[in-house]
Amino acid sequence: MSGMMTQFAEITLQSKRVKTSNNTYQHLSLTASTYSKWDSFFKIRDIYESYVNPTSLTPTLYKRQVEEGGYRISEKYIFGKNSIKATVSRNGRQPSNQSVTIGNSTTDIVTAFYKLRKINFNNMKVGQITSFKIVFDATEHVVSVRYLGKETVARAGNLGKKVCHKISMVSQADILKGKDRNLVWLTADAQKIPVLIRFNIPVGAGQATLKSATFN
Amino acid sequence: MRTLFITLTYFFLVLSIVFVILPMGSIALLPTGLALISAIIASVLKKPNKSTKVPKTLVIIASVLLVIAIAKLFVKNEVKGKEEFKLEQLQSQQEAINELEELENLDAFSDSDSIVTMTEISLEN
Repeated sequence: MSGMMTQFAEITLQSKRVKTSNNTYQHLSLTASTYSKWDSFFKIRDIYESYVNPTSLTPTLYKRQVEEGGYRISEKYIFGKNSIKATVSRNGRQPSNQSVTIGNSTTDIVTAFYKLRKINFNNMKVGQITSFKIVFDATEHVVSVRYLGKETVARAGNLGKKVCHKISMVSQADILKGKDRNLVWLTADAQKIPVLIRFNIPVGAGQATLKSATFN
Repeated sequence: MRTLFITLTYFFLVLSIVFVILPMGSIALLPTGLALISAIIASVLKKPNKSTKVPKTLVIIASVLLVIAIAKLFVKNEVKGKEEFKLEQLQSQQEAINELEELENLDAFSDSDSIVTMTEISLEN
């Protein structure tokens, strides 16, 4: 049944340098938009972006603008040393501010995905788990990464056939159950490009396949 | 047996209509194909004194739905309003840079505050 899928949305991941008058940041962004066929049923236009230190990947500012089927969220986190100042507005309502205490190494979800690509999987044994903390919906979560070894992905977009690191993103509950419900294949080279992502959602299963990857 | 296949056809036809209306892509081929197969079986299984009108009509409806489902596979599927969305991203980025500038100015201000405090302490000493 894996072939019986419908193309739903396009996701773009981008990383580029931006400058302010005093600093240089790495701008990490993830955008998602539904294809035209789905727009009239469930239109998605999401922008997730993070401004991080180019070397340490420590976030300074995180923004999330979500538009999903008429539901809108606008979220902004300003990262302090052990806290974030979160500003959240839902469906155009008055924004609410709150301060959330977080750990030293806690990042936002976009930075976490890029940090995942910094892990040296060659030093990891199959089944080995590494965890990191993320802040999402103004709540701190622990996400664990289980290394599942190497696998060849036959169709990795414009990259062709690629040997990849297969990893599983698991929540604390799934670790205990030993379930691997969300899988990511990253190319087993220096770039660690995500070429295939398989995930489970309450209404079924989804798959994201690489269309193209470009480097400057 | 014929009644069973006619019932199955009705069931798959309802599913087919929903799947054909929704942009389900190749998934829509499954219920439409099954509807057509069960409708053909129902029309083959003849019963004396029973009209073949209903199964034949079901075969036609299932065939039409299958053709529509196949035709929809060739309709171009792309992200619309890419330019507007890109503009939105650029605006968001510009806002973020302004916010980062403000944060840096705040940091610089708090740094100078701490320097003033230190100067005061050294003066007292």
